[in-house]
Order: sequence, then structure tokens, then C-alpha cells
Amino acid sequence: MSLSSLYNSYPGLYIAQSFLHSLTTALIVDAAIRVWKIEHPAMRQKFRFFIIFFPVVSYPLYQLVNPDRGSLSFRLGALFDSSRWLNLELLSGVSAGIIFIVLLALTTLLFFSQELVPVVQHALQSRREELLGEKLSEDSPVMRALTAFTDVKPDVFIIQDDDLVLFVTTGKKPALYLSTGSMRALSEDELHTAIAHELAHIERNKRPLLVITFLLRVLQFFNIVSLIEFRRIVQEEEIICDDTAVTQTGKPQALAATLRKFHPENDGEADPQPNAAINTRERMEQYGHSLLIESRITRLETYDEHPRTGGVIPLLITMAAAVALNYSIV
Amino acid sequence: MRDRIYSVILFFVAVAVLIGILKVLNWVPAAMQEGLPSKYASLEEVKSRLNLHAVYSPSYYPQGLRWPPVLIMAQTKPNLLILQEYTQQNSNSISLIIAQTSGNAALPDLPVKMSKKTEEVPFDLKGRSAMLEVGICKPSGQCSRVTWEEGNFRIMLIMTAPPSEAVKLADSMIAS
Repeated sequence: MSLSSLYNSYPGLYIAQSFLHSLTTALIVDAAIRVWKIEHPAMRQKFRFFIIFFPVVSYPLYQLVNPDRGSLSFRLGALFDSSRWLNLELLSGVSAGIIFIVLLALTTLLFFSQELVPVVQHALQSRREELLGEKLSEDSPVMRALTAFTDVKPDVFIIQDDDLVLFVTTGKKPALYLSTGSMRALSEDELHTAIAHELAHIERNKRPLLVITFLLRVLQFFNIVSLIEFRRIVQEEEIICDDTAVTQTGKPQALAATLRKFHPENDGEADPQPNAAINTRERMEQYGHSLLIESRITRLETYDEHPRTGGVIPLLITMAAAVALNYSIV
Repeated sequence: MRDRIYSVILFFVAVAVLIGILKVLNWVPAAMQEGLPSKYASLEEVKSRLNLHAVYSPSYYPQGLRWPPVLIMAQTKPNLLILQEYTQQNSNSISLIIAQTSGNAALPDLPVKMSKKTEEVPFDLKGRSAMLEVGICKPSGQCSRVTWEEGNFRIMLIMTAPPSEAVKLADSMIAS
């Protein structure tokens, strides 16, 4: 099968157009978030969910509306025709279409190695770890803290470890894992906010939105825009859980202090001699992660109880603009 | 209220900028490389602009067909493809498509598609071995398709007409 036949086939057209549609939708959504100054993480998440969802259905939907959308006369009059770029020969006879295939392959590789495999491993590990921790007595400070929050009552397990460890496993039988090091290092307020944050994850996991988003993201395994946007949705999820924890405890500063303790690399001091063994990619990831943690800490330190949502109208306008514009991107 | 209107205007300005960028990006490949898909006003223009000698077109047109073609599209990269689309005089729907290709050029999505083939007959077209297919095209009904090799090219014509008209038209594309 030649490259042009591949890009003229239904899967080829679907892949090329869903990539372009997600890219333009992401640009429109980013513009909307900036213009309407949308700060509320749940609202931002709804905007970003549209970037994941829309490209999955856009191509078949447009073809249903206008079966001639793939015809040459339509393509020649279109706002952007992907085939013009995909057939373009760049230096040394390599076409842009080949570079696009390489990009798709790298994204797919990244998806499997960094998202799908870790998710499966995490699910399996969670089951095993159920047997590792020690159950906590009812009168411990952690259990007392838990009674103050929501209806969620996970099993609590203590891990004998001096490091700071605190995480939850979700699902039918949620559990909270806490290291002895965390219990020693955190003050009672910090422990409360940290537990409230983790319980918010358990509570939110009951909603199917994130699972649906992940499944849609799986369908777009080749799409680098979906990969980036899914990570941004997960980041927004952390901020939503921060907000839930602050609403329940009323102590944003305590949560900021907890984050600092869990991520000491974010104390503002740069490592004078970075470990040579850490390669560039890891350093970049570490740097990106540090920036995210820092932005969460800054947000908590200057906590706004009523972040701007922008309302539903901007979301609807943004969706309408993306649907209208992408119709002419083939 | 004023803030809201201002935000809406700003948003549409951002979308307009994006449209502008997309238009420029759509134009760039054609500026960088000759022979990418473009519309042409006539077959003569195709010949002269793309430096082609053999561009096949019929000398016989069935009654009711509008001439000149509503679309002439040609490309030489990655493979040669010349496409002519004709409509009926009393309607705007495409009723004849002629495609001239070279190599393993893939045909794009065409506005006339044979959804069900009812008959397939090989026949002799002025010494070339041609294939006549008859079937149903959506949404127009009966249609006929003729394909054959002409030198280094492959010619395909599909029309919403009886097979006799399609064969007559194909026959008129070849010099005796």
C-alpha cells in the first residue's frame, strides 16, 4: 500500500483529521480559557474533556452530515487540506507524510510505555499491596482525621517506611496507604489536608467522567495532542482534589506545606550538582513535575475561594467554534 | 456585561487569527512545491502549467451534459492525477467523472461512487483491453464505469448513464 493510498483510506483520513481537529480544538480551547480567564479547575477540565472527546467522533460525524466532504472539490476549497502537507516532499525526498507516520509511531510508543503499561501495573500492584500494609487501630490520629470527612471510609494501611508515602487505591474497595515517615513528618493539620486530598480522589473516582476520558484517550492512542491534553486533565484533577481538601479543612496553607514536604525539590533551591546518571528526558520530566507542584503550591498560598468559572456560555461558544472551524479542515 | 461582550469579541478575534494561520499553512505547500493538487481553468492550462502532453478528454459528450467541466484538478506529486468533473445542464449534481492516473496513484473520494456492482464485462476498446462495470450509484441510480490502460496512464470514467453512453464516451477519448 502506497503512502497516498494509506492517507486516502478511511483509517488514514480518520487519523489525519482527528489529529488536526484535536490540534485546532486545543488552540481554540486555550484561547477561550485565556480570554474568559477561566480559573475553576472543574470548568477547565470540561473544556479539556472536549479536546479529547471531539476528535474521536468529528470525522465520522462530518462525513455523515456531508458525504462529499472527502471529495476533491471540497478539499480544494477547504480551509486546510492535510493531503497538501502529507504529499509534500521535504529535503532528501522524505515526504511530510512519512514524518507524520513517525510522529504517530512515537506517540503510540509513548502511550503504551508511559500510560497503558503503568496503569495496568498500578492496578496489579494495588491488589498485591493490600497484603503488605498493617491495619490501623480506630483511635489513631489518622482514623480520627478520617471520621471528620465525607462518607468515604477507605481501609487504612500503615507502611513501615521512613520516606514520605501517602496514596490511595480506588475501585470497589478503596484503601489509603500511609507511611510511618509521613505520620512523623506531618503536623495534625497537614495530615488532615493530605488525607482530605486523597479522599477527594476516592470520591471523584466514583464518577465515570475520568474513566470515559481515559477510554476515549485510548482510542486516540496515536494522537499526541490527546496525550498532552489527557495529562492536563489529570493535573486539573489534582487541583480539584486540592480545592476539595481546602473546602473541607479550611486550611490551604497546611496543604501547601504538605506539598512542600512531599516534594522537597520544590523548596526553591536548585540542585548544584545534578546527578549525571539522570538523563535529559528524566531531568525534563522532573523539571515539568516541579513546575506543576510549584504552581499548585502558589495557588494554595494565594488561595481564592471563588475562582472564576466563566459559566456555561463560553464553553458552548468554544464548542460551537471548534465544530464549525474543523468542518473545513480535511 | 461590557466585559462579557469584550471577551466574546476577543475570542472571535483569536479564532479569526487561527483561520488566517490555517489559510497561510494551506498555501505554503503549493508555494514550496510544484505539482500539488490544484484547480485549473482548462485542460490546456493543465498541459502548459504541468508540462504534460497527453491529457485525455472526450470528443463526444452525451446530450444534457454541461460543458466545460465544473472541476478540473491536477497533480503530479506524489503521482499524476488529472480529474474532470461534469454536471448535467439541468442540475448541479456530478454526472460524469474522468480520472487519468499514473503509477499507483490512489483515487480520492469521488462524488459519484458505485455502491453496488451488477455487471462486469471485459471488452475491446480500439485495441485496448477495457473493463465495463455497471451498477448502482448513490444517490443517482444506474451508473457505468469504464477503465483501461492508455500508454503509461490508467483512465477511469464513471457516469450516471447507461453503459452504451459510457462506452461511446470512452471510445471518443482515443484517437483512431
